[in-house]
Amino acid sequence: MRVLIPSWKFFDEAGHAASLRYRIGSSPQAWGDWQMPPSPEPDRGWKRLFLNARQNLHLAQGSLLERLLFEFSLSSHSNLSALQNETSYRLVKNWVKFEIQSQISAMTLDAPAHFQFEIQWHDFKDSSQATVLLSPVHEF
Amino acid sequence: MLLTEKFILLALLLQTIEFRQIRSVFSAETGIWRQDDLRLGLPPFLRLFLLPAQGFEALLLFRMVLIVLTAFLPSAWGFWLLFLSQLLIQLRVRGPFNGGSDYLTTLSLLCLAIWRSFPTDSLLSQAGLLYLGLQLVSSYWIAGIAKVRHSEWRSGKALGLFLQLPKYQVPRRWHEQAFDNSSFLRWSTWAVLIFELSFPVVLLQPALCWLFLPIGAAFHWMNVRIFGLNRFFWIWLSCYPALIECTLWLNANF
Repeated sequence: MRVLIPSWKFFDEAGHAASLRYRIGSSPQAWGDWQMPPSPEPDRGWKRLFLNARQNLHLAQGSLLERLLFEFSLSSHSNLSALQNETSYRLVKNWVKFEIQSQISAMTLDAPAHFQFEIQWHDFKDSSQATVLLSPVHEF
Repeated sequence: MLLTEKFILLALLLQTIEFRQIRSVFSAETGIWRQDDLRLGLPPFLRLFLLPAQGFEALLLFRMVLIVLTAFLPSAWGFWLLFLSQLLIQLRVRGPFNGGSDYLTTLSLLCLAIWRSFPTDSLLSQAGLLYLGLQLVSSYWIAGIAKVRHSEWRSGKALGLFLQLPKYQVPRRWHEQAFDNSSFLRWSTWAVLIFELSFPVVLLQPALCWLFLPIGAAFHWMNVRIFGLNRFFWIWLSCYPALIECTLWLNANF
């Protein structure tokens, strides 16, 4: 039905954003630094009027975070184990694995044993940020 | 509507090429939108239509061929198939990939398919044209209403906050040149709000399209430059010819 009667509320709420960070390790006791997925190189040329795949993917990935956080907010905060079986969580987890795999393919990284991710919530009105979701340790 | 058809086909072609450029994210083993994970949240009936990675790639190729064919040989069948392909894509990416642009793409294809399916002067054919035109008007007006209710938008502060969002990667020098200036933000915001909130007047007087549609094109162009929202540019401008026809029809019949 949303196809027939879309909601056209664009940009109505401002000033906050979610971001993803992940870390990898050879063991749960030996972690690397937290890192963010690489952002696409901002291309301000005229070509991006026609094709802007990486930026559109980047925006879609941001929507994955927002959807996961929304579903997380609806569930009990202690019920992260149940959330792990939800599609939203799995897609974000896949995103992290995708980024790690990209680094392995580019030979900038050896295959890790474990990874973990967190979602941070940034409020630009008061310049604050907080971790709102910390995943368990996952095997790669 | 003929111009709208051609422009929407171009918009679809660009979207399809973009999906092909990022097709690795749909891979079954290493992708992000993996079929096995997407199946979990779907009712059994819809799982039947959830394409595997290879099927999704095949759909994108089929769609490119169909777009070109429909451009040269437009038909109701062509637009119904394109509408179905759009639904399959939306299912595969778990809803809109880029928000409002996907909604208007899907809606446009449906309206074009309806318009093509019935005699031009028939009520149903006109309904497709009118609904698309009215939804286009709504897209601006409702967006304006949603913003103007918030004091942060009325003060210009909200625009500044959006420009700071990391996902848009607005260059620092643009902030220094303009976007850190509160007066600039306030005037820019009110220019957008006035445009969006007054857009419905085009329905009363078709000649006003000559004023509002170039402004709309400039607005969407700025969104491409600043935020990278290229899909919005193509799909919204594609519907402008349909809107002109809609306003002419309304003024001729009411």
